[in-house]
Amino acid sequence: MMTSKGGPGRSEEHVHLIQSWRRLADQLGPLIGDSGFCALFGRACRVVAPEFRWLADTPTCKTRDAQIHALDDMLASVAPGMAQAANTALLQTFAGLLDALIGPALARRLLAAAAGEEKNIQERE
Amino acid sequence: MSEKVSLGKLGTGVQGLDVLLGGGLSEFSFNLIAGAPGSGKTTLAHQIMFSLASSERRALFFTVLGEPPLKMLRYQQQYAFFDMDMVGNCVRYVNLADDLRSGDFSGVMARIMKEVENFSPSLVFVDSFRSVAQTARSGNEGVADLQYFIQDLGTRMTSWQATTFLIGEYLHSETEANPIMTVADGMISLAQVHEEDSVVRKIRVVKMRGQAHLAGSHTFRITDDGLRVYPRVLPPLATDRHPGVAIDEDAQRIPMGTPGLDEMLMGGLPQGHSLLVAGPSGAGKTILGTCFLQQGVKMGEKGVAMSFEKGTSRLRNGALARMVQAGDVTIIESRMIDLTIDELLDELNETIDRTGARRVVIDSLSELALYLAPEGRTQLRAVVFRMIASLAKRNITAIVTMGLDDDFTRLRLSQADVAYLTDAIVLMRFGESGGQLRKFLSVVKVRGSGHSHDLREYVIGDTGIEIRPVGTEYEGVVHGLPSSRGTP
Repeated sequence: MMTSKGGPGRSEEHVHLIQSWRRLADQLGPLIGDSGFCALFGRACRVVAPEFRWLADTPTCKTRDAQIHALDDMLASVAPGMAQAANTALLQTFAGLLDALIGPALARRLLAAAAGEEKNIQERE
Repeated sequence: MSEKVSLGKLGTGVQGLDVLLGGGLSEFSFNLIAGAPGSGKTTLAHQIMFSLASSERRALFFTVLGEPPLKMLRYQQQYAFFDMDMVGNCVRYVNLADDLRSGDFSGVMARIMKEVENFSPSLVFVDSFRSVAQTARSGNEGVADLQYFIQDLGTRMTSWQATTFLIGEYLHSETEANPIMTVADGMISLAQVHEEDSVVRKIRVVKMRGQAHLAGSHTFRITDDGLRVYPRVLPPLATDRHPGVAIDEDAQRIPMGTPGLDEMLMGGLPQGHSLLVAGPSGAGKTILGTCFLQQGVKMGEKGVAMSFEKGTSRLRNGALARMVQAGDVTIIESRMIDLTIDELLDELNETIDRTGARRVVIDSLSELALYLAPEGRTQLRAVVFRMIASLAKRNITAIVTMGLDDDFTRLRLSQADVAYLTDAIVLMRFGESGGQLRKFLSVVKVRGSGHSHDLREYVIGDTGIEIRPVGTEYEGVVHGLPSSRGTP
């Protein structure tokens, strides 16, 4: 499970945005690995870049932890409203790419199964 | 009662594979699925996994550095066996690539064990294990590390009571695979055999500890339903070799539908016999076969016609087309070439079983070779042998035709010694007399039965073949120049 807490001095809304990405990364990481997650994330950034040009500058990382850190920094560098809009577009695009690759049914199942497993582990801990 | 441990057998769900394995996979065994890229290893593993997995028997599929997991899921879900509802609860995917990047086998083992303890699987798959092996350090130290890792993995998985599959791009001769091959209880090797322009997929059970498996290479195909293995075996022997089982010495006679021929066969062809009808082009072999099927239809019997003609000939054979349209005869004809006898036999047997057919016509063996992959073409006799053996086991009465050019210097009965394989032979020939090309036929043999020894002239009319009621008055027919007896 990812351990980063995000950058200091972030608003509650901002922390919430990053947490949703962390959950997604934690769910998908064991399945597709760091490289799979980072590749999908990078592609999602390129797809939304025409609308949010600054997202195109998000560095491509080797681990999903580093990739979320990079996103954290990028979202913190713009106004909260802009960050919120860009994050929504990015999440939707990411999910759309996953759906296109493995189909919405399997994507839903895998994410739901991973979420359930994560919850079990947390309960055990 | 024996105190020996009995090996639980797991049915693989891959049609034909359990026959090769000697009844199925041994429970808790440690197996290697090996083969070159594209040979079907991952598909085989998935098919076995989805067939065996359940909420009581969960499966954990570890992906490593081979096919990216997203692509694997994208393609594997296209197969009919991929059950989306099983993913998550019964089947779980875990990627080990990040754990492997450190090159430390102990870290990989720790991750595998953590996942195994969390999910409690009864089935464990590692795809591709070769990528695991290739991260071993070079030199003897690396080999020792790998050997220890494999042995440790095998011991742990068996102790966990998990049936395990390592999937790797290994060829049988590769020394790198040796440590795995040594530890593995079972090894299934997949290959694509490329000859001339054709490719035939082959599967081989290299080892399967504790059970008598079927050796040798066997054909398989991959369709939308997954793998389908065709075990290269003959049907079981007849039961009348056992004491007390009645011996049928007076088989029912099957009318042939060609007037005069039944008389020459002493009442018809014995049921379950195969009859080779050999003769040159235009002799009427297909007509004789069609009449045989028509007679069956008149008697309420279904038939199967396996045609290797070029496809349009059926349009000219209205009688056959009508029987097919009426559903009385099922036609088997392939538009694919590079077929194997296993696939043809499978389709023939499936059609016979589905339709309840009692009569089969195979027209013709001469063209059959054009549809076969090179390995079948060079083994036509073996191909026909397996086909006839399979029909005999089902007690099907069959006509097989074969084109045979007269050379008039010797009496030929067939190509590729096929004549020795069938139970009966009818030979058709041309002979020149009085400015005409006349037609003659004779019954050469009928196993277990007497038959006419006449050489009879026949003509082909609108109603089919009309055989003269008595032996021909001509002599010298087999030399191609008949002359009436008494003619100087």
